[in-house]
Amino acid sequence: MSEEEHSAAIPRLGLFFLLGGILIAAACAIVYELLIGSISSYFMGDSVEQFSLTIGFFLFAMGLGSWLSRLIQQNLLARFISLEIWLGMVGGTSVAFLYIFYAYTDHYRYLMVVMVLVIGILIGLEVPLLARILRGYGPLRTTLSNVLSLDYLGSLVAALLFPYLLLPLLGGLHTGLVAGLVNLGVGLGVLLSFRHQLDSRQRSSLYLQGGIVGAALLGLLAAANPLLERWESSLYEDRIVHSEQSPYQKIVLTRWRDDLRLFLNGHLQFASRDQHRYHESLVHPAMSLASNRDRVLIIGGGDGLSASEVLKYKEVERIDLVDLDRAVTDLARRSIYMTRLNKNALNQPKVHIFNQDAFIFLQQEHVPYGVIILDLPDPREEALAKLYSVTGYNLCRRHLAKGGVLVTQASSPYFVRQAYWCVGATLAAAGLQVVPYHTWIPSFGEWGFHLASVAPLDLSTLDLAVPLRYLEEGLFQHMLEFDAEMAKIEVEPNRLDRPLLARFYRRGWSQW
Amino acid sequence: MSSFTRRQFLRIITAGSGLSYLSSCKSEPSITRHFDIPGKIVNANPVQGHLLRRDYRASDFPTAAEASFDAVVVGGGISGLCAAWKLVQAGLERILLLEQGDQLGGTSISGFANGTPFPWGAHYINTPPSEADCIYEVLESLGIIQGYDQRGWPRIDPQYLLRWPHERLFLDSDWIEDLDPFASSSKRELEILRRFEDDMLRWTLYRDRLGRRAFAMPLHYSSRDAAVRQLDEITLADYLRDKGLHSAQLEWLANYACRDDYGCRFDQVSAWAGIHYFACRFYDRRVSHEFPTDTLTWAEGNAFLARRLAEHLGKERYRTGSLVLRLENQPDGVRIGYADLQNGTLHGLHCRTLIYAAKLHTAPHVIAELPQAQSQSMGALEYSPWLVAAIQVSRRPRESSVPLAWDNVIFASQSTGYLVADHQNPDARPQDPSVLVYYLPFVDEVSKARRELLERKHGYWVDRIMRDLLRVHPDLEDIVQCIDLYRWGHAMVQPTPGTLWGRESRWRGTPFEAIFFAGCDVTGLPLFEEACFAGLRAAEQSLNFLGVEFKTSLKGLSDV
Repeated sequence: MSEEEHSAAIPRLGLFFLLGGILIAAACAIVYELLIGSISSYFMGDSVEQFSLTIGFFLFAMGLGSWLSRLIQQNLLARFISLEIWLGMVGGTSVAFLYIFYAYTDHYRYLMVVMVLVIGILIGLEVPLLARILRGYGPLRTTLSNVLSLDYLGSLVAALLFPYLLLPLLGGLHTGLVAGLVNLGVGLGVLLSFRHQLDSRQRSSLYLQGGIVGAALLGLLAAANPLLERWESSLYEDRIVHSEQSPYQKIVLTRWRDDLRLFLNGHLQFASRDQHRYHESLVHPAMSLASNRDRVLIIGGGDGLSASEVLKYKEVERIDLVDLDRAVTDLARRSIYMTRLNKNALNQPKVHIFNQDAFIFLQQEHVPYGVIILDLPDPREEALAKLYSVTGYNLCRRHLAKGGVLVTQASSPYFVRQAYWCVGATLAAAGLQVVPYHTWIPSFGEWGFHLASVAPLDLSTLDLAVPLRYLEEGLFQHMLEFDAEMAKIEVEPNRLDRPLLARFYRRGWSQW
Repeated sequence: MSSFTRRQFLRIITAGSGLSYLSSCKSEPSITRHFDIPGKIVNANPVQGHLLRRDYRASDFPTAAEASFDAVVVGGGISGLCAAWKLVQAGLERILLLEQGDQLGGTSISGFANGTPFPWGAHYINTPPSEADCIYEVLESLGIIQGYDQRGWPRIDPQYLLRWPHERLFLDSDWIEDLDPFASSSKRELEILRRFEDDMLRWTLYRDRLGRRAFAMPLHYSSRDAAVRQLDEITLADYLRDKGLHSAQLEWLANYACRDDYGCRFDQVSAWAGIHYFACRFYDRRVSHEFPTDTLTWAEGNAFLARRLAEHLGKERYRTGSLVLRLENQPDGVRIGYADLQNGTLHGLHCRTLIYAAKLHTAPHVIAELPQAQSQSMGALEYSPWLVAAIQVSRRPRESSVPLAWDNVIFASQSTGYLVADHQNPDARPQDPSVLVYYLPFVDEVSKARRELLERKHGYWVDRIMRDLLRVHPDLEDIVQCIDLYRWGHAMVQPTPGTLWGRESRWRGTPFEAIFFAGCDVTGLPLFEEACFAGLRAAEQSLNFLGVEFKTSLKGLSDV
């Protein structure tokens, strides 16, 4: 049957299915794209890079698909239905494949791009094919306008559903499979409403294809949870005791024997075996050097481990802890693994938790704090790096009481030397006196911090009067020394309008 | 009066439909069936206590005292026994305890049937938290605590630890045990439960500047911070509402806890008392490793503790069936007028100091010229009545998929369930005769309930109990032999708002010349630990008054 023959005979119901199908198929396409972008960010970090790659290759592949559509000359309707069915298959299983690529191969980056290209090409075929199917129904003017407007509307629907409903509620793998099934549904809906225009051979072939894809997707859906557990376990060396997708990040807690590890978006936050080396080094120099410890502000630190160190000082009356992600602070309050490690720090009546953006918190009025502890994840992305900016530190300084001390973790002076010293330069640009120091944390490597204060600190007053496992006054003096490979370099500060830090950071790590 | 652990609460709260309970509470179905089951009301003649309503004058009693003592304890409940224990420890020789009943123990008394002792009232304690060292001292001397481990945690004689299975719950149509607590509740309901748990944990971890806990045991050791004490000004229902914790299941849980421990509804009880129930002990899984909380119980319930305390005191130092009718401070001590209830004679005694460990609401009727403020404060106390039934059965009820436990709670019941008296006996077999002890608190309109309790006949209560239990044990009719009843007109002091920390509350513990006050009524929480503490404190006040040297048991905190 040629294009020209059937085009005049589109039933009303069929038209409805076709146009509705465009909207739904477009929504599915955006869901695949967003899924690949966010799963890749989760695996590879740096969401800007991952989303740029995904969107760029997607659009390119769609163009390729549109170009290739010219090669399809006959059986447009059957081809379109077949296309929807297999798009459901590929898109639906895309997340599963991404997990497999990451867990079992070393070529995630390339395989991911191939996957984006395949899905993009299939999606690129959709609109030209449809426009041609519909062209007999009306003038090109209205057909094209209908098709494209519905296509873009579908994108909006998906873009809204994805972050607020689908990802938090279903998680990545399930969202993909559900979108795949919906895509398959579009194919089958069109098939049913146009079955009289297809010959029996085409019909049975399409039913068979639909059956195969449907069975595969439903089978995966049924097995999704155990599979996910297995794949995730292979991502982490140890047994996963908690796994959760929050609106902001993927939270995974693993345990092997006595060692508990927390990962946010796949990045290690602490290992219980040596976390005390990190948290004692972060918290106690600042606590000891501050002239007042009544009120302490912790930014980040949703795991409660910094708060646990701060609570060792009996004179602390109030700790405000600002962490964006309520899922993390809830985990730290409610998981028995976490509460044993942080000694119920976040359940203490002295601790007040604010689940909000630190920038917004710092823009509000607060009674000044004697100590401000910045216990944030590494500045691997611009969104995080904004807290490590001159503006961010200026806001912090405004909340520092007289004689107050600020401390920030600043990643590794060895692995990302430029980034480490950039944090120092940024603090200095915010008008603070900076004391850099570093130590060795087995699960992190060589790790650095910066103390900062308005008036210069007298380091000889360091007096660690609370029970500690690792840090001592003499050791701290050694922490102040940097060898030639880590020594200070001149770096520009990190500004909101000139965000250098995340780039330094990523560039630094990419060399290791 | 029955133990109800947090684990079980979770089960109820998550699995239950709170509404069935509420509706069953509102309309008591009319009596449609009568059961012809033998038995008696054990304390058939509770008018003895009401002898107090008459005013006795000094002239009613023999003018010459029959004997003189250094200290006399009025009331042989746990508090009076603990006071006497302390006096004996301090080496005081000439002491006497007077008890109106024919058994020592107060609400911790027991009966015996079908080869097993069983409790008529209080029947368990929990491991007291570490600040309760005065209670450790008593339990240690009774052989219940055998020693302490390196962490200072008490080692309990294992035979007194509650045996498995601890408890089960009849919900909708079956018993549940070890059910996944989060199985069938909605996400919203669970989040409210978690928020409630988080809130209770915060109170558990609260320490003030002096290191005191917000909710300590004994409550006297609790923080005096305004933020904590203010909780005594509102009810638990108010507190939950203010916190935005709206949930039918959570409210059921709170209400059960209050009926069980305090004989009050959650909208009657002080929020301080209600939170104390959850935040005083380390039940939460997140802190349970910081301190172990075990349940200690005995076949005869807390009557075991009373018996041990009585043995420590010695037979010659107490008189049962002795109702104290009049006390009068005199320059050389206290004059006592009491009735010997066995032969109806009146007697006079003299003592240098007196510890009043009877129900405090009786004090204004007994103590001559008790100051107005004290009299008012003591007279204002309200008590909840309870009915306790000993159901003698030819064998234990048939088990469902969930085995019979020590404590068996029925979700949609006004009772707090029943316990199996010989549960702690490892040799007891299901096919042997046993006793089920059934507890029914009266939380609404207590005066009316008390009158009803006094007037209604045995058959009325039997019908009510059988109707309640037949729903969960259809075979009960075949195995029940006899139901004996014990009526408690004033079983538990009700910790309503203001009772614990209100301005008037301190008058209850203020000595009146040579008379010192004990009993859990002094602090206002009807618990063994409070009774014990109040008894020890009154004894120490009395020893100080006498100028006797002793080692204090109240080391807990300096301001005691």
